[in-house]
Amino acid sequence: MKRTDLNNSAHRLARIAGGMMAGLAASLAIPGPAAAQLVVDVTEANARPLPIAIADFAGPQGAAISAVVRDNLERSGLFDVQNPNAFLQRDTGVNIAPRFADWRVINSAALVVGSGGTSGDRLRVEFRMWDVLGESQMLGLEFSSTDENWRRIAHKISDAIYQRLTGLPGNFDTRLVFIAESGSRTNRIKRLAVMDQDGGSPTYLTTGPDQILTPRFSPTGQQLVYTALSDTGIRLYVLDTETGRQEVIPGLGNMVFAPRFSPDGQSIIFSAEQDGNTDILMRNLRTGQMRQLTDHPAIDTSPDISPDGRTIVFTSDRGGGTQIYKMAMNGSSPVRLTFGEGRYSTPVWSPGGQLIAFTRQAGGAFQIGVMNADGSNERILTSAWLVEGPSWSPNGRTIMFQRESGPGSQPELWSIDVSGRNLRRAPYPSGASDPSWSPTLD
Amino acid sequence: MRQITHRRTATIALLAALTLTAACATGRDRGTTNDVAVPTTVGTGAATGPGTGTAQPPQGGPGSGVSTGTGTAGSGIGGAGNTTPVQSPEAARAAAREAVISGLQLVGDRIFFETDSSALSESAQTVLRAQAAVLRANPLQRVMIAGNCDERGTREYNLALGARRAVAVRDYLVSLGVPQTQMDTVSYGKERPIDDRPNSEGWAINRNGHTFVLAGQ
Repeated sequence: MKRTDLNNSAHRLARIAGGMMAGLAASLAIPGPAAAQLVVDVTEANARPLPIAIADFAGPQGAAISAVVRDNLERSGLFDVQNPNAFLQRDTGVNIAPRFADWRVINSAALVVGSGGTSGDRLRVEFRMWDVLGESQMLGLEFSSTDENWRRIAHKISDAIYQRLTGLPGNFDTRLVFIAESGSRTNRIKRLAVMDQDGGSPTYLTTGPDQILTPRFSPTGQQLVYTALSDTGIRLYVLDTETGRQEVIPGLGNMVFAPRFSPDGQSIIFSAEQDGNTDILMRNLRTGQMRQLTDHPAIDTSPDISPDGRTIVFTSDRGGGTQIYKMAMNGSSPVRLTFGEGRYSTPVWSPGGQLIAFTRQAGGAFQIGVMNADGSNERILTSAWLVEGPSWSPNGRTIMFQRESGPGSQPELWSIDVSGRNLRRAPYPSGASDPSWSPTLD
Repeated sequence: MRQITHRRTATIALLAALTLTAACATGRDRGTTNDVAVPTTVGTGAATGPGTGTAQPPQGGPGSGVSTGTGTAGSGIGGAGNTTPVQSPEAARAAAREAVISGLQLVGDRIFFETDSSALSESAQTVLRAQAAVLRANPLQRVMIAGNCDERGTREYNLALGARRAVAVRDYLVSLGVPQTQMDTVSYGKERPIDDRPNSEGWAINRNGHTFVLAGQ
């Protein structure tokens, strides 16, 4: 783990400093029995969850940090997070070698121990992860930040454990921006909200009568773009979450919507309506230069730029029904990607640029699916009364979306892995829609 | 003055009668998908709007119905031989506002669409012809036209479809002589349903174009 500079700001986005801990391996003179490298295979369709024991960390915030780590790993669907009540060894400690036999008895494959301490206003947390069968240390790290950032330390620890065991970066030190919904169906209140991916620290960013729709994070996670619907029109706002500064993005008329950031964060691509027709435009936030990318009497909306910055996918009904198209960055060469039965919309590129997630409507039901970048190999992941608006986790493994289970039910945030497994409700207890996943925080 | 007062009283009574009937007929039980129940006392398909039914049209005013200058606020009648004093601009605006609000309530302020469509059905056009008469007779009052969608579509596409619907209504009203500058359009997508039933009846109601006077305008 590279050392990052400490940022003494009390802001909740203050950086986490991390470093390697001195290994305890030196104190275990006899290497354990040869064991296969402990690894979790994320691609295997029927992989059994890996049993992992996470002991309560010692020190201030210790129990709370352990609880967050357990919850994170459990929700990933890849781990069987064992109940601490079942542990045989109770005298665990970050600088104590485990009694591996006690852990083998309860079939733990990995064991995590840790402790926290404060010095001044800094919280310093160290932890080790042990390979139980191999009786060796797999990981030893230390994080520090302001005391109020203990949750983020827990998420960084979760990411480190996840990455060490799967080879993939974790999704745990991320946030979700979404719409918090309340009120009756015919008088719906929609507010802009942000929370940690585990439901921690939900924050509501708007008040007032406008209904907020379809927010997105910028590539750094520092800015948000969102749509506000009022009696007289629909406006686009870019909000800087650090400074609180907000900017309106103009379009062609009184309806500007469906915004996303470009991969370099410099521009917003969006839809603008004029005289009943909706086209796709792009605006450079720094220069103010605006370009119109589609000029067609069809509805052209829900644009998304590929991670390599070269291709735009979007929804259009220019072919008669609602389908997904792609085009070049200057708007040329539009090509239809979807030909299946039903209506396709809300295309979203995966972080690696290999897949496109989408919403499909067919046979009275809604579905979330993925396809290759050329439109081939379409795979439906989940189907329900209403699902829409997929958003990818930063590691490309999980898709968050909005779901209504049946007629008249309220929308909720749900997620599913791109493997099609691990369908579960996101940890937000109330009505919610339009989720968008942040990048991993610094 | 006495003569005019008498006419005005008669007109007030007429307006009240028609409005009461309209309220019964345009309630929630709208029945079929693209039908708006136009009050039978004023007849359907009346190109010149209300007032051509069984009740006597207000004297001295143009035949376009109760929402004109012979209305309650005493605005200038416009017919020949009249001695009404010239109104202040504020009063004229207020009169036009009241006339449009009550006129739209009378003839129907919503028309309905098929799934994924912004085409105007025959019955929609009938209602819009009546709306046009109300608007042409009251050029001082502008209206907003909102396009609405049912919940069975994705959010952004529905915002765009709602705009198509609103402009379809506007353009048809323009073709009937309503100045485009008298109308604004907006889409509410699927965000502002008026019917909470999660079935085809409710969705049919929510696929609508709504003509109304904005608060404060």
